[in-house]
Amino acid sequence: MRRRRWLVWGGIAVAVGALALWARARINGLSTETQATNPIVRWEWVFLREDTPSELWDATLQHLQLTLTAVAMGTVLAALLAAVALRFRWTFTPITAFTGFLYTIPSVALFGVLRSRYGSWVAALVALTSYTLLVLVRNIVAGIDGVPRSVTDAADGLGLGRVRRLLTVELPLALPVIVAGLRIATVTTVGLVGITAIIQLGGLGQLIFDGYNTDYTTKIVVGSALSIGLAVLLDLGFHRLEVLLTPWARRRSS
Amino acid sequence: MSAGSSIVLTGVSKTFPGSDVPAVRPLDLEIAGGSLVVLIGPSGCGKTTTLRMINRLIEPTAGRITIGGADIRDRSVTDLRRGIGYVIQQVGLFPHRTIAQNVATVPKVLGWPRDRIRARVEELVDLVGLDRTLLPRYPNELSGGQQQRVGVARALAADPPVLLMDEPFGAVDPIVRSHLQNELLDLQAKVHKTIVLVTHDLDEAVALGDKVAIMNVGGVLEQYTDPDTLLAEPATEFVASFLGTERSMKRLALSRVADLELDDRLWADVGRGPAGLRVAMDATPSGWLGLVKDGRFAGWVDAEALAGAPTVDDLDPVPPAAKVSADSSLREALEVILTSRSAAAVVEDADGRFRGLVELEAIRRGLAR
Repeated sequence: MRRRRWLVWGGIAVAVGALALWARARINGLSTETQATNPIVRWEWVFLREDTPSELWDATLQHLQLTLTAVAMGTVLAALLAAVALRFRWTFTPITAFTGFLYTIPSVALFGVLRSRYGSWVAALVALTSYTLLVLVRNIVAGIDGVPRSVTDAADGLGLGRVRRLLTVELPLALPVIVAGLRIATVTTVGLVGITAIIQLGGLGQLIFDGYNTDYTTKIVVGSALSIGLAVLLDLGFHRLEVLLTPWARRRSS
Repeated sequence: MSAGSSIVLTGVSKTFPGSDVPAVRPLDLEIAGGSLVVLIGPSGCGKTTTLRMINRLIEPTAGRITIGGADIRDRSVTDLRRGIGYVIQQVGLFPHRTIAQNVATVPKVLGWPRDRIRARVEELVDLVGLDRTLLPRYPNELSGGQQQRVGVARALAADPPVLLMDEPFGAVDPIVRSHLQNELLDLQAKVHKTIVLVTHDLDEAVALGDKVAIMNVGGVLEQYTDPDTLLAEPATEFVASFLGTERSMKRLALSRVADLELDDRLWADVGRGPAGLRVAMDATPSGWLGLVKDGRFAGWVDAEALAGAPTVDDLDPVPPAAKVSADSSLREALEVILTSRSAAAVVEDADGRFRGLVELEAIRRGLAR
């Protein structure tokens, strides 16, 4: 466990370092004239401009807000769909087919169509939520199906009842698989939120789009770096949560 | 401790949906309260189906099952199951719960106060022979045998009158298995539950069962009797072939030396004096006479030695090569006699007092009935 965490942070450090070296080499390789007008990163924009910290903070906050709201709504909805799929097995195929279909709709199109009727926020959240459903429903169902037969048989034999069995036995044991789904959904959503910039949201995506439109690479680099950082932090956060909630999974007999 | 209730199956049958052939044909079975009954038979004989119909994990197609006189359909399924202990081969402990929490499952559902649950958990862990230091551990930190003991403790937690066990020792190695079997018998001697146990292991059935029900494919009850009668008098061809060719050898393990009729002509008390001993010697079939002095076995003498001895004290008896305890099985007695190459073994009780002499003929007579 310790070793894996070390690898994750080491990897991030190496990536950031390589990026900085590459940017520096690029800057040095350009003529003074070009460098003055068009460097990859204008560090003075990042560190010296007065409005930058609050702009970055607001963008990050909006990004986080959109991501977490969408994942939370997706989790509630997916839980309901998974409950239906588990109770009535024949509904599993239609439900995954439907959520799979949602997943195939191009996000740009969905954002555009929904905004014209419901406004940007609703459009963004509906679309982002619908993209989390496929992986969440699948993982909840797979997690619960993965509970060993002997365990559910014992739970039935002891007279636990259907609801109590689900809440006190199956759900806790399915947690690692469900959290794995949450992590994928979250990281995917962090990326997708950026695209909502086309409907005037986007959080850090807005920054990236600005940079794109004005040919100002500094904003693209900074926006991307923060977006990646957010995804990594949320992923690690969920991992941490899983470890805390599943103390039994770590202890093994010698 | 609530002792066992009787279980009565009347015309119970099961045909699974989508199947033309019944898994269990109408079956009548009476299980006396406090007894341990073993269901045994080849795969497909419906023994597990029958077991699972008792706690309604499988609903019978027809027929009636009563526990302690009450129809099992009169209670809700969960209520019924909380009053019936259930132990399965793969144990099915909850991996995310500690041993203490696993054992406490049913009491907690029944809403017992916390102190009572803790006391009960400790009592049960002692009862099944587990160390209390294991209570805060998780199941995957325990050995297979320990897990199975936890499974039994969990099943007994709310003190149910009935315990159902589905191949409980099938997944542990043979040495642990025989330990657990003996522990189950010790446990049963203390708790007197009505236990229904499914197995495919004939030795286990014979060793554990007060009665054994042999079932044939399709849930046909072929014979239902105590193990010794089963081995001595198989009712049908099927039972005879299921029991195999070593029936008599298995019976040897069931009977005790104390149950045999021992031959009194093989020995005499030295108090009868030389003349009396010579009379006794004439009656022995073997030409050797066992001497008993002060209630203990002194040794063997042959006719020649006896003839040349003026008093009892002049005798120099040969010490016995074979001794068994009265509690020994006939199998152990046979083993002792054969390895010592004596004709008879001395039977002693736990205090070393003489109880008689057992020879091959007595064992043969014991099996012939």
